[in-house]
Amino acid sequence: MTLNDLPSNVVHSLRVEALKGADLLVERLRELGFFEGAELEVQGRLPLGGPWVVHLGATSFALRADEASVLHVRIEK
Amino acid sequence: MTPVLALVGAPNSGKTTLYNWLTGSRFKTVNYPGATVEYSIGSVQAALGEGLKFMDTPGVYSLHAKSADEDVTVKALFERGGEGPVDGVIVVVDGTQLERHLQLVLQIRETGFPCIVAVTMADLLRKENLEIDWQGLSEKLGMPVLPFEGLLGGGLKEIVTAAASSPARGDVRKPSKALVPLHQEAAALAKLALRKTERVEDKIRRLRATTSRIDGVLLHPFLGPVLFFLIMAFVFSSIYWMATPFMDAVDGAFAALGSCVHGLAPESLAADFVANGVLASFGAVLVFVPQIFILFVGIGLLESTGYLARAATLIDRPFSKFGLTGRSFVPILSGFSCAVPALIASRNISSKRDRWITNFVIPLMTCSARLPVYALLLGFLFQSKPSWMAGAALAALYLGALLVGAIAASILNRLIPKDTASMLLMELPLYRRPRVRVVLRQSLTRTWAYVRRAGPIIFVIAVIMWVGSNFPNYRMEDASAKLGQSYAGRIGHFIEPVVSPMGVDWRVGVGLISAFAAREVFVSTLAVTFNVADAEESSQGLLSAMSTATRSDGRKIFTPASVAALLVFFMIALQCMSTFAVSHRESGSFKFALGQLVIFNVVAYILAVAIFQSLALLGLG
Repeated sequence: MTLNDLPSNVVHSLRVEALKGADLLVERLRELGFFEGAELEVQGRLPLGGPWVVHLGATSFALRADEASVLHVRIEK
Repeated sequence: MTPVLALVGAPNSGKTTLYNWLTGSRFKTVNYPGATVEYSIGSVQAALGEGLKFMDTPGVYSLHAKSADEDVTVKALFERGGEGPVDGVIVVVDGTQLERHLQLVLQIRETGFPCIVAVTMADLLRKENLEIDWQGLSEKLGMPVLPFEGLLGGGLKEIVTAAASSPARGDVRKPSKALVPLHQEAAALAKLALRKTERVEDKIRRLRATTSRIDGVLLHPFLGPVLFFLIMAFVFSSIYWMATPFMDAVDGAFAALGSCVHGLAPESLAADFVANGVLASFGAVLVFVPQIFILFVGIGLLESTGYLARAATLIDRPFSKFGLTGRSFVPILSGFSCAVPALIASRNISSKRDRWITNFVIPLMTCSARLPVYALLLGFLFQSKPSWMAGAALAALYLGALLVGAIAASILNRLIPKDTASMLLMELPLYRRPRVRVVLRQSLTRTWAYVRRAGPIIFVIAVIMWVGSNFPNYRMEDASAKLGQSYAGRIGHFIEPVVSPMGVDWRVGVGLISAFAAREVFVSTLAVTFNVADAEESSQGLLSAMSTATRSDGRKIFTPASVAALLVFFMIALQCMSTFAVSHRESGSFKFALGQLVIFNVVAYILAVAIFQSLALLGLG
């Protein structure tokens, strides 16, 4: 399941299981701290297929749908 | 040679703040990841020591550059414009994000540069009763690890001392390894440094509690876009209503000064030149400086709070329809003050294609040099109408610029084949209270830079226009015949066939040509060519001169139709040669820059003619 498969109106706590996609995207996401095992919190998603807003530790990121599709996640709670 | 130490770190980690403290410079610091796109080198402040230089660099997440600004940093580290590698690196690390940022420290350590780590935001950690184990981290990394406090410059002395006793650099090599294998080590170090437990993780998360609450509103699926629109509308409308009293003051001062000079020696050539040539030109343009200042303050406030990263997020989806990205937002917004820094700011966009499209449309944005022109023409159009109407028309022109930009971007989006992946991946920094004093000071500096840049051009054109429109028949009694036979008049008549389809006469044509020196000069040129007959200098005087001005056949020059045509012409035309030069440099393509120049000017002319002709048919000519 990727981030895109989640409903956008529920606050989730997630764990990254794998990163799959274009090498450039995978590398950049890892550099930003999106590692296998990293814990994410979803704040929500902007309308009409807009970016996801996710928290990672003390900071937050906006991820486009193509970027979110790289993140394979598991729901923690 | 004086050793140079580079400040390297992730975007928004506080490099520029540290650089300003170290060198005593006043570079802009902004709460937006990717605000620095160029490296700069400065000597250490005399108060702190001597014989050291520091280099500020654009933020990088790793030494594997993925955008033009990251490339600037890597090149600066290893080549420094052909002078060889820098002598050492100060890695600037955000203390609240040790786990992520230590990866970069480890990667840089592998290159062989002598390193020092400067940890920012340690004061935020302290608020949650967290203290970094400085000694332990330093021993593990094998390099000095020092705190730095951005607001008051705490820790500066220690950093300079460490920098001065930094070991000599050996051979360096570019990193072979990607960051990936370094993550585990970085995470372990971060854990050690903060004696991390579950409770510590919670405390670190608590740092963004307020920010998350604000984002709950500002990035709300429905409220977010509405508030975005309201915030932008407020910033841009304030240019109009907030500036009026200040503009009246500047206007009054120049009018008084002009009549004073004229009164000193009513018959002298020198007084005439100063009052009707120089003062009239400067007054006509400087009256708009308050508006430009307010625009800079508005953008500055947005930059310092951290809202711009959210604005980029909100606009990403709509922008992607036109082949742009959310990352295009900040360059495009700064295009509303000046296209030149805006074209450079787009280095932060990782996809080359996205950057080309962004840079193509930036010159269409309503830059501060267009503002005087718009303000004059709108002031004329809505002379005796309530002031909100001129404000609404100005807003329409700003939106019009965006609309034309969107059309241009979509055309380009169809024409350029898709290549590299377009990215947003925007870090959303913690919100910060705007530091109003800093914003005001920076806006003042930028406004002053605007005046200083425009000043000499205005002066030179003022001299040329005054001489051109008063000679060779300076003593002639009939003012309009004198102007018609002057040098400017002769050139003007030559170009009149080109501008008359736009509904204007040769005097405006001369103004349009002078606007290629700088757009705002259009206003000062009109002030000279239309005011030669009377001694009034203020823009009020110019407005009344404009309303009575007629063409040779007796028809009025400035009608709703011709003013609308002029507005559209200025909205689209690319009249700025610095923009052309920077566009060429940033794209690396002369064809791109030339295409931009030709297309915008031709389209502007055709549209202006079409608008005048059709409005004239409707009886508005």
